[in-house]
Amino acid sequence: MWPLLLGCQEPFGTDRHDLVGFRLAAVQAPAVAAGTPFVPRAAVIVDGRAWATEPAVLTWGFVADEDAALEPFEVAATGAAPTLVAPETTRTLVVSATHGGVERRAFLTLAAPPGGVRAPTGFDVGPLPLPKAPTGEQLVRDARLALVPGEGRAVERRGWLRLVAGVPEGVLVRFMATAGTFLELEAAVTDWTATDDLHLDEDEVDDPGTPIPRGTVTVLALAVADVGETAFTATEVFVGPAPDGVWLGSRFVPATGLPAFTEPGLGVRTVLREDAEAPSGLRLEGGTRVDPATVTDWGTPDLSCDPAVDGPLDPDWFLTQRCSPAGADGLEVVVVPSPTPPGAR
Amino acid sequence: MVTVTLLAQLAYADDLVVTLRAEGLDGSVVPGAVVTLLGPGGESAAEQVADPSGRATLDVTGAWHLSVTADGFRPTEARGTGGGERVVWLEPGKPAVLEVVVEGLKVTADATRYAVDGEQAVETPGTLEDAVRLVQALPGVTVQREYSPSSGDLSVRGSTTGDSRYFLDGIEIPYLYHYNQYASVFPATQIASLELFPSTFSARYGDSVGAVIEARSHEAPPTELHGSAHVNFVMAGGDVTAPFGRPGVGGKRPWWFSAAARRSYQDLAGEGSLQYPLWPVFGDFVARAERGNDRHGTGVFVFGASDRWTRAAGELDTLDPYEATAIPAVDHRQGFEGVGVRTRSVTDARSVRAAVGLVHHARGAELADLGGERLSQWTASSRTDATWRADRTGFDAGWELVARRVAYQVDDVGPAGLRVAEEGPGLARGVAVDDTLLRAQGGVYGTAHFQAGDFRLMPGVRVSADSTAAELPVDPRAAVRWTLGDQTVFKAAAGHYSQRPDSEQLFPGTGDPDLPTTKSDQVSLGWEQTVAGRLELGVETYHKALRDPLLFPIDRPAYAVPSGRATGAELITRYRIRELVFLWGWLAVQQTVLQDEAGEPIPGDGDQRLAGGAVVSFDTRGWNVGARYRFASGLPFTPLDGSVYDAGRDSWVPVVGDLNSDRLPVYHKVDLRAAKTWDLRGWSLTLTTELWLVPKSSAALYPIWNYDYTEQGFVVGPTLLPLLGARVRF
Repeated sequence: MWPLLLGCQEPFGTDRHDLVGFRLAAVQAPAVAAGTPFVPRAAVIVDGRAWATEPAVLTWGFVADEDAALEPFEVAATGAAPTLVAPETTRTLVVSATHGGVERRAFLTLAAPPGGVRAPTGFDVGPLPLPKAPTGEQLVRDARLALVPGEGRAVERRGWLRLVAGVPEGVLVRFMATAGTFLELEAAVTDWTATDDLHLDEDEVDDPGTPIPRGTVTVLALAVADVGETAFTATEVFVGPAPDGVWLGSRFVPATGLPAFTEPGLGVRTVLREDAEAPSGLRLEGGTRVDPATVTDWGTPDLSCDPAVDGPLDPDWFLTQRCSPAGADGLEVVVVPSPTPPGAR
Repeated sequence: MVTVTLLAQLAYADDLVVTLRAEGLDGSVVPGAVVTLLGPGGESAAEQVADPSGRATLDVTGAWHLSVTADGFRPTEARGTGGGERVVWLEPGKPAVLEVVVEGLKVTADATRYAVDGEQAVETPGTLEDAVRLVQALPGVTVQREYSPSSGDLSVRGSTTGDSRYFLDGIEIPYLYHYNQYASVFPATQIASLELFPSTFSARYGDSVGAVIEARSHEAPPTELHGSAHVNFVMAGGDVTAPFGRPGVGGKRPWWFSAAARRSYQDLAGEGSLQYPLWPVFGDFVARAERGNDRHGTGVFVFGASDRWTRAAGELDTLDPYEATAIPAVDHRQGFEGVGVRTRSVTDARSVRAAVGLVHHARGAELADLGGERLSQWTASSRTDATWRADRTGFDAGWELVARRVAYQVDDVGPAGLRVAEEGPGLARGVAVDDTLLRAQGGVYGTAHFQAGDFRLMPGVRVSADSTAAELPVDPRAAVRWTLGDQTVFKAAAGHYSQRPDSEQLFPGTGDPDLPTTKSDQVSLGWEQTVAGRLELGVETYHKALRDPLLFPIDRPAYAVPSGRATGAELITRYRIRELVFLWGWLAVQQTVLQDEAGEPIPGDGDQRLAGGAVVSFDTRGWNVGARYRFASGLPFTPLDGSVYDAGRDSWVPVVGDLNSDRLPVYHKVDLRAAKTWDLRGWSLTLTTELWLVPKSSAALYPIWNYDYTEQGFVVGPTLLPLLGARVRF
């Protein structure tokens, strides 16, 4: 009878895993002593994407505590990757992101050295032998953990993937994605299904949700150690067949006509094309091999970035709102691809 | 009908005047009772019918033997010798769950007094035969959404829960309802009268700017063993009452005892869930031994109640499996036990009632390894209330003494405390406390009664003291009644009221020892009309001006705002033909507004602008069928206006919006009831079925927010609930 009487919660359309709308998804800063310069960064989602044609405006400051973080603050710096100096007392770092007249605000209490949390170094990803609509025991954590994932990052609609983040033991990883539903099973282990709004009630499917369309999904993994010690890494998984493309570190960039990969460390001079469906708003088209050691013009300084960048293309510049893909169409840049994204171990 | 026997001795005939009175608190007379004087062989020697004053006069000589019968009462016999005046007490024909107290019959200095009626209590759909649950359907009492955590909150005429006091046989009890108000904390079968004093009450009650609820258990002695057992969807229990001791005059035994106990049983019926590893389990008991009758007697009694449940400190459905394993469970226990002695001496001209009690209230909330909150409060109390009445004057006087020892321990459990504020309000404040408070409180009062023609003026004053404040509040109060004939009454009252904060709010850290005394000036005007003895109409209006009313934010200590006010009007009507049909309905409009330091208005927690309801119940051929409809405008709540992301914890800190600036949806509820009673040899069986219906649009219980507080939704309760119950009486 009690279950009848106890109220039930109406599910919300989004939860903390969903990188939708305009969201300050993660902030990281190193453990720093007072007076030490450091560069914080933030992962910002605009219109549900890990990039923005018009990047969000970031302002940074220091306040005494989290209550003060709710109030107007004195701006210490602006931009996506400012160099700040850690204060002695007011060690609560505040960042405000503004886009389209909407503000999102976050704070982070700076950790003292030695600290040392690091972002996930990579991911082990594999499809799970779960049916598209698992039921009963298959939904229970222990039973799910007993499943052995296969190989690859591609899964069909409503299919399931297992992701394991590469972090030291004891570090908690919180997963987010631009689509799909997560069920975090261990501190750094999660299952993910290519279904939006799947809702479970203990071991029953309360709402089967909607299968997500085929395409590329960006996953953001935030490592959380002690308070103030956070670091994030983004990567991609695929619904349906994996498209052609290259891995730049843990990030995937779709590409066509690139020369075949021959050995690690080699670069490719390629052309950027704006692509709203791409994880970073850009894809690569054609190109020739280059030795990174001989490159003097990476092409990236011509990207629309604040502060300006240089060096091989890094998709995280777009996630952190440092750069915009706007105006990049036709720009020639050098990338240094990997044969596969880094694994957890 | 009645048969009476008198063992007549023909010489020395005397007049024997017998007054027939119903056992019950008001000892009302029983006109129409048939008194038969029995002869030596048990034959009828004479017979008289009691007149409208409940009296019958017979000629007797020497020893006599009477038999008395009356509709609705158990047949009884009485023996004696010689003439004179005697009282014969009649016991209701079936064990009453609650005696009828008809408003307006008892003239007290309380301008407004709503009495829960036995027939109402048992047959009003949706009450589960629990009279105290019916309190929340009385005019002026905020309609709370059933099944919700706040459903047990008692807000009367705009007051907050902590503003009101609850008494059982003169002893204050710490709380009124079990988990989510599924039952009250004392067995309803033991209650003889239940009265609500919503505001402008007399000087008899103090330390309250809200309402007073006074429950009194049966005082009339039983003539034989009887009891009952019952089970419904929430609880099962039983009660028994019996006389004991050597029979005295009239065969009555001098002592009697009564005991009752109830317990919820869902925890016995099945395992808990992940959300509730231990289903809410609660129970209560009361046992008493009394000597005397409802006019003169002394009793000793023990009572208690307990609640316990364990729940995950978060909505598991919204959490990931790993989070669900990491989230702590809160183990909540609350209960009280008490022992008391009550004594009474009541005549038509005077009465003295006294009670002394010792109550221990304990409340705890443990959050696994993180720590918890522990409250232990011992309260010794004594109160004496005396009344004296003459034709045109009268006087009430009394005093109340209370001594408390409150031990309070709170651990700092961090942000998790906010998620268990319901069970551990101190945990939500994030401050550690380990302290003990010794407190003494007292009050003395007097009220004079002056009757001048149709007017009755009742001025009074109460002086209070509290060791937590260097002040001596003097609260003058007065009431006047203007009676036109025997069916119309106009009444007015005004008074000053004061209340010190609850002990728990005075501990430094989670509370504030410097909290001021809340003061209230109250006025009320009313009109009561009875038509043909069956239709009752009543209208009440009131205004309460508050100084230093308290607000209770979740995450920090209570604080006072400068002022507030509550204004409202209530309409109640009732029609009944006893044991055949009753209808009653009510409508209440009110507004409660507080003002903050800047003078900005804030809706009060109990600001329910409109509420009302209607009940109809029929009895026929062992069947009772009834329906109740209630509606209420939505109570205010404080919205959240987005959040700030705590990046170091990957959590969100809500930005609190304007206080009480949003409201729950309008509430509607329909309760249907059908019951069938089979009267068998010496016992009866009643089977009850109820259907509770709440439209989906009204099923919202309380607001919730999404992970980052940017979306607001509601926890919703059931929209349809079928219930069964059974009761056996003997």
